[in-house]
Amino acid sequence: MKSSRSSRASQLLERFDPGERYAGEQLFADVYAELRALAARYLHRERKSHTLQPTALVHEAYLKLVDQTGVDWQDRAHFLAIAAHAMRQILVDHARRHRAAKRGGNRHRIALDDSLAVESRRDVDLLALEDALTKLTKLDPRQAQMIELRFFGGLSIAEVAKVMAISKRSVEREWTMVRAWLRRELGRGDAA
Amino acid sequence: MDHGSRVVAARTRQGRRGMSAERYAQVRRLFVAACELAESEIGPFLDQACVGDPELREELESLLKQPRLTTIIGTSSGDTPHGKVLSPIADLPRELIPADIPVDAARAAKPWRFSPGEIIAAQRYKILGPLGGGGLGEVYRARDRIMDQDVALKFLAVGQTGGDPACSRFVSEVATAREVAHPNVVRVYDIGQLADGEVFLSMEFIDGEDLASLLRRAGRLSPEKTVQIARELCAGLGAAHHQGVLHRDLKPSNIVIDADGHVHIADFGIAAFVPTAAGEIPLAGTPAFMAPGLFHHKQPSKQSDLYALGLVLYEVATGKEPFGGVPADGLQAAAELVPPSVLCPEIEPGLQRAILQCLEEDPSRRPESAQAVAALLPG
Repeated sequence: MKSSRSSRASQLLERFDPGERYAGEQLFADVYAELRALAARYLHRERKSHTLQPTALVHEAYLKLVDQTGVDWQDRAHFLAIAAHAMRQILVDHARRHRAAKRGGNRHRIALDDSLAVESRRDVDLLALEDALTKLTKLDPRQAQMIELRFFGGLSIAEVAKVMAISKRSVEREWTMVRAWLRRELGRGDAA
Repeated sequence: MDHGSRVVAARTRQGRRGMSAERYAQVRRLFVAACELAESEIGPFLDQACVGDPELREELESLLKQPRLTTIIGTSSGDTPHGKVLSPIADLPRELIPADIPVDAARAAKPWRFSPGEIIAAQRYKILGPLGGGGLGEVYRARDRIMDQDVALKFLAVGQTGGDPACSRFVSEVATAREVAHPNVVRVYDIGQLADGEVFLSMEFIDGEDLASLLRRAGRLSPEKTVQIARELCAGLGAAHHQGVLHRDLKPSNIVIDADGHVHIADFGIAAFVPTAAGEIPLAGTPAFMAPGLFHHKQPSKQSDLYALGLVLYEVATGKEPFGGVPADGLQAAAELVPPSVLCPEIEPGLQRAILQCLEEDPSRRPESAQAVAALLPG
C-alpha cells in the first residue's frame, strides 16, 4: 500500500538534480514529514535507557517513500543525504524542546550508527554532537557534512564519496580525522 | 620528545579556542599524513613538521592519541573486500604530502607488484587496485577484459603449488571449491598463470568490507545484525559442506560484508595455498581461529569449521575474541570461556546457545551441521 507521499517522492527523486530547487525542496519537505512521523512514534515509546538509531529511521523512511524498482544507486545516496539532513534537524529540535521542558536533565542520547554497526557503547549526547558539528562547520564544512551523512543518514564510505563527488580514499582519510576530532570534542564536553 | 604535559594541556586549550579554518586545514593535512606512518615514525615526523610551533604539535598529538578505529588509514576502508589496504605515503595526493617527507623511502616499502592500470595475464586482466594484505596474500581488484566484469585476483604461494597449476592437489581443491554456488559464498572462477609461472586464482569481486576490519572499526555488532550474519554464515557454510568442501580457515578476515550487509565467505578450501602477509604459508588455518583438535594433526572436519564459526560469532556478538585470542593449541593453559552474555547482556539467548555449542572442545558435542546451528538461532 503506497501513500501519495511515497509515489511523489519516487517521482521527485527521479527528477532530482541538485540544481533544481523545486524538486529538492519538495523532496526535503516530504522526507522531513515522513521522518518526523516515524521519529515521533519511536520517541514516544522511548524510555530513558533506550537509544534511538537515526539511520534505522532514515532507511525505514527510504523504504516507505521510494519505489525501489526505479531508483538507481546514485539516487539512493542522494535521498539518504537529504534524509540525513532532515533527521538531524528533527532530532536536534526534539532534544532542544525536551531539554527546555526538563531543564537540563535527561538529555537525549542517540546511537551513532557507523554504517552497519550499531553499538550501544558509542552513544553520544545529541546536543553536544550538534554543538561540535556547528563548530566543525565553521572550520571545515565538508568534514561536517560527512558526519551528517554517516551518522544521521547511515551512508557508507562509498555513498559519501558519491554524494560529495570525491574518491573513497579521500573520504576514508577525512573520516579518520573527523572521528578523532569528534571523539576529542565530545570527550571534553562530557568531562566538563 | 615529551614536553611538560600540564603546560601543554593549558596551552592546547587556548590554542583550540582560537582555531581558524586555515589552522584547521593545516592540522588536517598533517594529521592525514601522520596516519599513514608507522607508530614509530610519527614522533620524528611531528618533530620535523611542527618545528617552532609547539601548539600545532600538541593539537596533533591530542588528535592522534584518540583511539583510531581505523588504526591506520586504509585499514578501515569500508570498501575493500579483503581487509587491510597498505597505503604508503606515496599514494597520497601530492598536496597532502608535507614537503619534508621522504616520498621515495615510502614508495620503496610498497609491497605491491602491480600498479593500477597494468594489464596482466595475456591481456586478460587490468589491475584496478590492491585489495588485501593480512592473512590473504596479495589480492587485487581487476577488470576481466573478456568477461567484462570486475574480479578479485589472488596470488598464491609459489612454493606451495610448485609454480605449477597442474599441481594436482591444488587443482582438485579449486575444482571442488568452484562447485559451490551460493549467495553467501565468494564464487571461485578459475586458476590463472602469469608468463613467469606465477599462479593466481580469479574470484568473484565483492564490493564490501571484511568482517575483521568492520569489527575493528565498530567493536561489536548489534544483536539483530549478529543474528543475521550468523544465519548467512550458516547458510554459506552449510552449502559448501553439502558439496563436500570444508573451509579450514574461517575467520573474520575472510568473511566479506557487502554494501547491503550480506555475508560472503571467501577462500573455501584454499587456506593451505594462501600465504600470510609475512610470506609464510600456514600449515592450515590461522591459530587463533583453529579448533583444538587441528593442532594435533587430526583431520579437519565439518565440526572444526563449526568451531571456527563459533569463534567468529563470539567476536561479532561481543567485540572480543573468546579465550582472549589465545590459540587452543594446548601450549598455554586454556583460558576460561566467558559466556557472551557477560560481555553483551542483550545477546539473543538462542545465539548464545549456538555459539557455546560450536565452541565445545569435544567435536562430537558440537552441532551436527551448519543447518543445526542455524536452527538454534532465534526467529
